[in-house]
Amino acid sequence: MDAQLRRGILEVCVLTALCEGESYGYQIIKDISPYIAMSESTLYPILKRLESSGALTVTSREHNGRLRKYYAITPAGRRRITSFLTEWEDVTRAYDYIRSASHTVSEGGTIYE
Amino acid sequence: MNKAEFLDKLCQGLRFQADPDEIRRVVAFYDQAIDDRVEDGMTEEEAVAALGDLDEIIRGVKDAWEQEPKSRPEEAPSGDTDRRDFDPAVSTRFEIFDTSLDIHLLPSPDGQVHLEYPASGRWRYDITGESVVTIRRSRKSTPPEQFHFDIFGMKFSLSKPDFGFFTENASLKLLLPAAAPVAVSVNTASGNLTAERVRLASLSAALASGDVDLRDMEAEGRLSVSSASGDVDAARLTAPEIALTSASGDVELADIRCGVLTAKSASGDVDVENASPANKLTAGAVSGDIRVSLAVPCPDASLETVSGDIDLSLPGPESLYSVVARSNSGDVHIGGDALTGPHRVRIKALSGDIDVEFGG
Repeated sequence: MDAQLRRGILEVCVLTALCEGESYGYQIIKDISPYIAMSESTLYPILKRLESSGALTVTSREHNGRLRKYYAITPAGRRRITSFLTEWEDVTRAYDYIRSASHTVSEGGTIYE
Repeated sequence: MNKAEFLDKLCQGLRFQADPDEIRRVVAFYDQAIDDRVEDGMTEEEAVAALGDLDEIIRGVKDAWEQEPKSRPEEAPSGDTDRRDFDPAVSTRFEIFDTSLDIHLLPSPDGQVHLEYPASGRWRYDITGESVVTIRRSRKSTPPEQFHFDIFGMKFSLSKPDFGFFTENASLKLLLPAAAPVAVSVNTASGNLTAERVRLASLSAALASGDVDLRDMEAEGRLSVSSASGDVDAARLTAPEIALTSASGDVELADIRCGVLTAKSASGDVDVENASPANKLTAGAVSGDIRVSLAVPCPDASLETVSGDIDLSLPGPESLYSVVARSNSGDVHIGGDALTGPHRVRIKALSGDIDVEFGG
């Protein structure tokens, strides 16, 4: 997958994982992993970008005798998901078009799904 | 690889890359990632392995920094020393920001505050402010330094030759007068912090992987030091409030006199010997052990670990204390009937053993 596209999708996935309520790094990775693979080294810069763009807020709270950082989505973060879904409708339409014409693309080759 | 080794290697890999706050944030992030996996049932080694290749992690962090405008590569400073003097009646607070230098707090030979710092062709120390003096190291803008001079009215400029060479133990010294104590705050990544025979108004220090060594020190106010993966050692400290913590390093304290004492480590051990907290003691660890011996009875003591063991030695007869000790799966041993005394002691462990002795 194109790196830019993947990054955009991952950012929205992280925000989606926070929609039900605040969460922390490892829990976010566990929630997302059935859908798209992500490691801490990918998550860290994403959380940083989302924080500096105001899509989420961070608070440290004590948990089992240590400090744990919790991330919470902001209204700006929710708007980000909504606009992603709207934009994605365009992508889906384009996808349907590409797919409907795939027999002409493959020219007798195999289409991998 | 265990957590401490991993975090230390991570720090080493990042130390020349960004400001100490950012390194601390990254270390804290991975510290938490490991703790959360351990809590989920993995061993420390499994948790570290699950994070993936360390070099890749370091590369990822560096890539993220490079996407940001303010990231800056760093090099070690070099040889000679510069010096600045301050009047403690005017300058009452010193804030040091650095990444890799060792920082030493030492007694001043006179009534002034003296700062000694490395002079280098590559480095610049921005020393600003009057009552609050901020000491911040930054890389010089390139070209680094130029000589400007006039000959017969013609202006010339020449680049200053750079004699900078790497010095392993480059350090910054702040010499402090005991008669006029000032407040000090230290912020560094891989540098160590030492303090010896000094008297301060207060000390607040945050380190990422550096070790801390404090001896024969007195503070009029709060003395608070934390290191993410370094060890914290302290002996003969006096202050109304003392808080010494490490995430994965050991915390070892001896002969501490204070009102409120907090000593914590997550995966390291906490050793407190012959302490006299007059009001309150809090000792905490997660997988490390806690050993505490008190010189005087403390009215409110609280000790807590998850999987580590707790050993507590209290002075005087057991009738002075009311001890509540609980371990879910570990053994609890209390060396006497301590149920109704005025000094409250609360001890909690999840799987560790608890041992309390009296009259030591």
